Amino acid sequence: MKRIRYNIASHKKVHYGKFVFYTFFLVLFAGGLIFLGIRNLWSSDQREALQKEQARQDRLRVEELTRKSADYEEQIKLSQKKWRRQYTFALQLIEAKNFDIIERLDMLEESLPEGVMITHVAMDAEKDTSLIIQVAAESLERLVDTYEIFKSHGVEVRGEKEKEGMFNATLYLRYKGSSPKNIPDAAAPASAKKDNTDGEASKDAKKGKKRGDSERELLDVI
Amino acid sequence: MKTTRTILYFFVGLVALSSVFLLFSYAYTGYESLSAQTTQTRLGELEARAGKLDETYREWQNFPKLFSDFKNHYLMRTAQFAQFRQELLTICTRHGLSYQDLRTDPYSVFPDVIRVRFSVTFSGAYHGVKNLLFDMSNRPEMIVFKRVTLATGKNPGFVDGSIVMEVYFGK
Repeated sequence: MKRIRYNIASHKKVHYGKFVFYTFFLVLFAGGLIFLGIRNLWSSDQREALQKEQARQDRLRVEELTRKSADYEEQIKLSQKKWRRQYTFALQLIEAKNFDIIERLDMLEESLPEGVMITHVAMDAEKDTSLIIQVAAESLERLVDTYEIFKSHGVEVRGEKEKEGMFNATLYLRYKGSSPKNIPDAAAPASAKKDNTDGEASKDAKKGKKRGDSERELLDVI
Repeated sequence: MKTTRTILYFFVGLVALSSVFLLFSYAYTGYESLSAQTTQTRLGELEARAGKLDETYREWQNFPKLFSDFKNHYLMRTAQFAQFRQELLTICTRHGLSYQDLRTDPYSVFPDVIRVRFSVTFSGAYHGVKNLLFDMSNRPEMIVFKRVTLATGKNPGFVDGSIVMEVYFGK
């Protein structure tokens, strides 16, 4: 005969062993988390003490640097105000000294095609780096060749006429030099004064020269 | 049963609270280190800026000496004016150029710096003109060409020209 089981308890049966196990696990877990948190804050406190000292020193350094920077700015402004004109003068002078006339003449000599001659050259350093030349060509083709050659210098034809079988034109060139001419080294002025009687050798002679110390230092100030 | 459930909920709540506490502790220390890092970064930036300003300041402090050296090295003495003028004419003659006109126009740029504008008109062979230009531009002193004009001369093979150049003299 089958035995009939009746559960007449008002609540579900509690397995105390399991309950104690889970509770213990939760307590342990929570304890672990709290331990980690406290340890983290504790070590942070120790670090904080060191950092506070560091921060105090940093603040002092920041204040000192801010004050120093302000002083420097003030001094720089005063110096600039006092020396600006001289500074600009020196730089402009160096820039003007770099205007290389020989290089321009060399360029014209080398570029000019056969059957074309220059009748007039004008260079004005004050008005940018332009060159105004008047050329006379044996034929119109030669004249057109000249325009083509000077194309790289932004040639602008400002008048063209035929006179006594020659084709004349006035050309405006915006000279784009190769490299700026260097100022001879102040320490060795004698070596800079090369005794040269041939203008053709000028380009090579100039290429080897060093830029003056003063210019270098002046440019460093910028 | 109810008591055990309450106890269980309590401990689950405790775990949740301790998790929050742990997160807070990490957030707090993270913020602190971030703050310290920010101060360090700012300090570094300030130091770099101060260093740069210090360099500029020193350069400006050095400028009067630099400018004085510049004048000493590249400017002729005022006493050399007559000598330079004579040299210019000698160079013209040496290169076969016959000068027609030489004008000088002085101007005081600073109390101790005088600019003299030399305008020379001459006639001669082209290579002579080029040599004159080379000799002048190759000098270490501040001789600056302002205008150069060359034209086919009246005599065959000759050019007529004029040069305007500025020469700087220091006292």
